[in-house]
Amino acid sequence: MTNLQETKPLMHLLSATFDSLQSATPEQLAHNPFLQLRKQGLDALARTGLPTPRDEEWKYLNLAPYIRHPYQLPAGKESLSHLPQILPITTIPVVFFNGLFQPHLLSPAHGVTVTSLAQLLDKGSHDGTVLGEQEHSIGQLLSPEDDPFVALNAALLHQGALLHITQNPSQPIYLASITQSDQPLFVNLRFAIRLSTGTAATVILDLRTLSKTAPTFHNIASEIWLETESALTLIFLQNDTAQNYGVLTTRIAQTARSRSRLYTVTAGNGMVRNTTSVQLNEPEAETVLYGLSVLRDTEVADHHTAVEHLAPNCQSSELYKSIVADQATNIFNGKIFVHPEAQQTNAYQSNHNILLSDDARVYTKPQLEIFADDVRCTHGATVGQLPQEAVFYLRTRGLPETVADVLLLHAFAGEVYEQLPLEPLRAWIDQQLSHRLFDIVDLAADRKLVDLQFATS
Amino acid sequence: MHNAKQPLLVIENLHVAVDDKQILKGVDLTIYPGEIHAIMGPNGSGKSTLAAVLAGREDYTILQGRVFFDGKDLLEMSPEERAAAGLFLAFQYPVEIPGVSMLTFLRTALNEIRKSNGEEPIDTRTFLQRVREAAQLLGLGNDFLQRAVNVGFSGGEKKRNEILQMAVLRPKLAILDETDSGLDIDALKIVANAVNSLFGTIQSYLIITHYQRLLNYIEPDYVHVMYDGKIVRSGDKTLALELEAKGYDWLRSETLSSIELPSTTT
Ligand SMILES: Nc1ncnc2c1ncn2[C@@H]1O[C@H](COP(=O)(O)OP(=O)(O)O)[C@@H](O)[C@H]1O
Ligand SMILES: [Mg+2]
Repeated sequence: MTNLQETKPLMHLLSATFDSLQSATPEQLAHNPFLQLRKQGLDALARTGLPTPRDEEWKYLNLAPYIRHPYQLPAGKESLSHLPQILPITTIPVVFFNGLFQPHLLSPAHGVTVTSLAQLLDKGSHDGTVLGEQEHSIGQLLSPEDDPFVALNAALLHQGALLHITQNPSQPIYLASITQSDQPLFVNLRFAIRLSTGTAATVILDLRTLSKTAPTFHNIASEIWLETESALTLIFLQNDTAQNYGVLTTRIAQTARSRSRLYTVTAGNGMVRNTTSVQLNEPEAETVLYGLSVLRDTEVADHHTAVEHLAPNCQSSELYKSIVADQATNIFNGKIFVHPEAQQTNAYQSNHNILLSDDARVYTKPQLEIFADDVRCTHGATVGQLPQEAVFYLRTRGLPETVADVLLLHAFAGEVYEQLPLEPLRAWIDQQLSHRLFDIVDLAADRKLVDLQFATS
Repeated sequence: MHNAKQPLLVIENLHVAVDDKQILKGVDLTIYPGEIHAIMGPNGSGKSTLAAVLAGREDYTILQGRVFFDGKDLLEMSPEERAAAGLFLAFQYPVEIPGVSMLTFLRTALNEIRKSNGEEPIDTRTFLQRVREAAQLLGLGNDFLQRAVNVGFSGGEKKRNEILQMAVLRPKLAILDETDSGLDIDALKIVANAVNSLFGTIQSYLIITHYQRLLNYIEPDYVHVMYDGKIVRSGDKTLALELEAKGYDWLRSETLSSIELPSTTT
């Protein structure tokens, strides 16, 4: 352990965990499931270390440049006096500032119970039942054995939130991490979300850093349970700045007739790895996974998805698209498992990519394992450039080449988020992406949105 | 009668190659404002190549020759500059633009052209009025305008859509490349009627067609026959009828005997 601490990136963050486990009595260790989880995390990490490109699941993502900084865990009692206006909608704010929960920003909200994980842990002994029943507890869906970042997340287990949706909340829940620091910050958050039978909710997971000089590294692990006939819309906003790095591991377990709809917009954060998996455990569950990357400079987005069909009559559809400029990289790996009992499965996956420069990189890999025979499964992946026939056609109608490019790229990207249910948020995302596309094709700033109105008349 | 005016289009001795293969082998053509010209000729003779070169497609190599549009050197201009100057090509094979609605497309195009010409963007009301009138002229419903450009359009809808764009953009010269092919007789009449009713707003047409059929409805002042990359004959509209009667094989033998070409516009 001392060895790890001295020489390996990020390992210095573990010393507090190490100490807490050293000082815990065997009695405490035996009765506190959170301490056990920390220990499991530490043990798993000691065995595997952090991933490198030699690991199959991390093949194209070299983490070295992002983890080498002298990160610090949150310290003290940092407080954000008010929530900065980032999104154009009112929300139920569950906000972490410099890694610490900000309960004062949250007023009692209808339909959702929010519990601070840190508060729960600091209470000392606890039986680990966090969302009503043992089976909806932290560590039930994501095991430290699964993945080194889940192990790290468990080892550093402290800050996070438990959301229990018991009725339909009137507003989207804004699960946000905001940082502002001169020092490199490591933000380790754990979320558990449970939607009770028949409820519907929207959750926005947003990562923001206001720091200009020092990076923030997010390691976020989320476990989500959808009970019968519940419906979750989960929106990942990753359109912040280059100093914002993140590894987000999300697992969703669905029961009968539940629906999940995930949107991921990656367009600005310097490095993002999304490891997203959905288990369709009971009949007629549905999931929709939509992801869009618009990348420039040296940005890296890595989307690993896994959909497991474990019961009959379930449906999954996946659409991931990327526009990759400069020296940026987009990675898509989409696994679909159809287990023998999952008859009448419908599973769709597509991944389409547009490369805008010779140095841009796209890696795409569908992985299908189908063990049932009555299955409709289609998948497709393309990597190409802007269609020059279409560019020429638009130019003959008077559009300058750059405007033609933006119009085509915008239309290509729009397919991913045009169905997003929150209109003001959709329009905001659209505007952010349009600006970015204008920048990427190097169109003079004064043209922006003045001449080109994308809004349908 | 036009000689006092400046010609709208002058093509002089144009030689064009693609991938080292020469396709146009010396084309001369002059079009004055107020004239309708037709180019006929067998498949593969170079008609679409000529149209594409005029519109500014970049995969072609100009080996020789010059082209002037409204007094300006056309070959020096980008496709969008040509559009702004008032040149329009109705494509033989219109291109699909998924995710871009007809309205967004038309308004963007119109405003970019206006911007190039130092004009303000068109106001929404005037724009919608113009587009709806154009749609009506082409027998296309308003829902057509909500659809993505050419996506899922039938062959006939694609052709009518080209003319719809022409009606909205109001160029000086419109080149119609086989706009008639694939149209049934009713659609053909609609298109011909639209072309005729816009004549005036649109100063001149260059109509490329394989068949004489369209010329029953749009009367050309001049008919040219293209064969093997050259205009081998020019005449008035009776030439189209002669071609129809004798077929293109007749040309082949005539060309071999190297006929004297009548000059058309000087
Ligand atoms: N992009 C291209 N690449 C290679 N050959 C071409 C290309 N465009 C046209 N051609 C060739 O040039 C000749 C003329 O074609 P085209 O101009 O389409 O004739 P038309 O319109 O009269 O039928 C044909 O032999 C065609 O195969
Ligand atoms: Mg042709």
